Amino acid sequence: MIVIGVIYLLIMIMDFYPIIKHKKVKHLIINLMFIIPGLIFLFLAAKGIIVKSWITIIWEFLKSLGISY
Amino acid sequence: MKKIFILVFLLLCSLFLVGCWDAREINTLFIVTGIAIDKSKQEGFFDVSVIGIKTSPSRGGSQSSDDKDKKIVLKTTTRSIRDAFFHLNLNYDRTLYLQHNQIVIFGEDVAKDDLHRHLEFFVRSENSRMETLMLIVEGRADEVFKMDVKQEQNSTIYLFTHIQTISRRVKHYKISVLNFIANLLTEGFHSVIPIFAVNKNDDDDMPINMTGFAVFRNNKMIAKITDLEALGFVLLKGDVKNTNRTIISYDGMVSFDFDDIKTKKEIIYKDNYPIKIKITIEITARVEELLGFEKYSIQDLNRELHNIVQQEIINVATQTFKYFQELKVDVFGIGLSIYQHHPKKWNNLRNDWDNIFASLEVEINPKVVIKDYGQIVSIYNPGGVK
Amino acid sequence: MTIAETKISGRQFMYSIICFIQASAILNAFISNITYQESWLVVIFAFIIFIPSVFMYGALINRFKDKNLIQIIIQIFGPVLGRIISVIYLIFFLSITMFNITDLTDITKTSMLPTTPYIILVMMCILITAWAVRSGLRVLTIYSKMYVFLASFIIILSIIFLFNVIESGNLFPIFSLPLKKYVQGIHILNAIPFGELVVFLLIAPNVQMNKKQTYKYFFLGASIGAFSFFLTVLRDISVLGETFGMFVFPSLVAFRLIRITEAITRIEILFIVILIILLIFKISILYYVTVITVSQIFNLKKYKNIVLSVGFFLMTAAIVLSANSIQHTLAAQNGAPFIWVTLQIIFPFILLLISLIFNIKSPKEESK
Repeated sequence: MIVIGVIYLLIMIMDFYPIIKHKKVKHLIINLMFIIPGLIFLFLAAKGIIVKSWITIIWEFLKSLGISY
Repeated sequence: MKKIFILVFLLLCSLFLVGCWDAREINTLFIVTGIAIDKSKQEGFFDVSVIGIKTSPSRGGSQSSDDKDKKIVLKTTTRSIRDAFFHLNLNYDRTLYLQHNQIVIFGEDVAKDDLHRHLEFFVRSENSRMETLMLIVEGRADEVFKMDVKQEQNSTIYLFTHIQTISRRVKHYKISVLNFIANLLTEGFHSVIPIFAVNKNDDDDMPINMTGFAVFRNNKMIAKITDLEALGFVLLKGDVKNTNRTIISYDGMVSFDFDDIKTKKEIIYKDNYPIKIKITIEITARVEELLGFEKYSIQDLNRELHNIVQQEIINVATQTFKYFQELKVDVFGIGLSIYQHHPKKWNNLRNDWDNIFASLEVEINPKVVIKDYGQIVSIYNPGGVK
Repeated sequence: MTIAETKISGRQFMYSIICFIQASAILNAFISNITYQESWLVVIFAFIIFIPSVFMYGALINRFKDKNLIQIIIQIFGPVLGRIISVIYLIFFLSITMFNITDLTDITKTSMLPTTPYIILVMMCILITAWAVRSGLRVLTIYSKMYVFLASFIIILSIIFLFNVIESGNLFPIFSLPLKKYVQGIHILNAIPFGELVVFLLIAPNVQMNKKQTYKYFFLGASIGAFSFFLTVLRDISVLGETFGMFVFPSLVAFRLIRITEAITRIEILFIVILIILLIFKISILYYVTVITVSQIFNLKKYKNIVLSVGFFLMTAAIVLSANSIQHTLAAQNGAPFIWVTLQIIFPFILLLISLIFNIKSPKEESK
């Protein structure tokens, strides 16, 4: 799984090249805002850790309030 | 930069999306065409047999005509179907491939026990197909795989072709796994499955004969119907393209082909409680064979034959209906009809439907049209008085 | 001002909406084990109830002609609160994109590539859709007409081929379930797939259509798409009967039953292929909308340079967060409708109401 993630990141160099070339800091920060959580998820997936989705968390909260079918 | 990306992307597609992990070469597969399940002598275990086609390449100029070369039978004894396939995959050089499985055959003992536990695998597994046909065999199901069939590659392909042929005339002979499961889940309805018997006579090239239907209450076989009741069942179910009946009366013998059998059911209620069922059976009949009846003119013959066939239909259908009432098994969909069209009435009847069905009065109304008498217009009576 | 400068025609917009709903044919499993054989009835009622929402979306588009949903939110609620609300929409768009990626990989694994690793399928999906998104809206929607006709042709062909196994009695009984089941079914359908049409509010500024055409194309697109969905559900129920509620992919099982002659058999691959095409299209639209939302929140002039990083996040999150199909189905049936409908219908209605009460329009509309 890590291998696939690395392959993808290598493909992403295509996006990073113009950002670094033209020094677009804003773009870089936004890209990192998605890449860093993505890397965290990648490591979680590689370890086989399953995380509850936010919808499940909100649904359980709604259920505790009695709002459910 | 764009060209590099396109090149890398195409390389990745050609690497990952052409079935690297899912490659299945034909010489690594055992193509299963039939599965037979019998009760084992060991308590709680089942004998599972699978039959498949040999997929070795043919050599130019020489072909084996020996049937034994074409089929391969694998057997194992396990607690469940999934265990059986796992065991067979472990101990055979090829992987079992179920996507071409035509038929699942159950031995009579297994059918009397519990069919649902075996069907669970066929419903759940991604490798199996729901349109696989089901049938019951008198005695042991694996006897079917020992049959020598001259016409087809193996006995299950023979059986599949056989059922396809007869179901073109009477569709009720074709029950798939999906049909049976749907019937099990349907309220107010019980199922039948065709039952066959292996022909032990070596001189006969018809290796297997259909003997009738196995009647099920939920998952378990409770009775068999043959001959007369099977005809009655077909008449009462309707939606049949062709069947036939030979009737022997005081004046002679007549053989009819019944075409386009349609059935309509009318339920008579009293205080929202069904008390009577009126079944109208519409048949277009053709005279295929006629012996005797010399004393009748053409007009009288027509009337007499009408009377004979109508009376026969009433007798056969009533006898069959009463037989199913004794078994307390509604295979005709009367309960289903109430459930589909009057769900509120059904709510009051569902818990006791089997008893209510058993107490219904039945009235059979045949509507027969004798379409033609074949190629000759009079009675064939060579050497007789004209 | 729109981020993407390409323009598409009103018809392309309409065909995109139809494709979007047709891709949701796979999603009838969400209601099949709630309303069983009466699901066809629920589809009709759900669409009738959704019709006012279609006109509401049309009214919003006409009132804010050159603004997408995020720009409308920022204009009405201001830059700070507007961006906070937009982040909620971003999470929403990311979630539905992830769910649809999961659906695509599930159907591919079940029917064609069972042992191929999940991440490979997700990655290839993301790369293909990223390429489409980077190419722009015109490229995304250019083949929508062809996909609509292809999908409609396959649906009609399947109904013809399955005529010999269709039992009209399987559509009955009707109105035999408790009222709560119908409400739940209608609620789910209004959230998935009808309510997902809210994403087209982010594409609308790039569509060349006048006020009347906005209502016309949106309504026609939604109606034809809903009719396709209805035909699919009707076919599946009339073929599968009581077993309709059992299967994860009822349409796949129904297609497997097609057997006309020995030659015309095992044609479920047609269904799989067109479904994959439609799902890729839907994911492309959702991916595009997500990227546009990010660009809008952070005031970017161009969105192309963030496409792949958003795709990376989608890829990894799809694997981790959509753990298994059972959790996915339960979330879709129970939790998602309440959250989705708030963002898809209730909040846009609040936007329209506020704009009407306070007479807020786009500057173009004000000058007219």
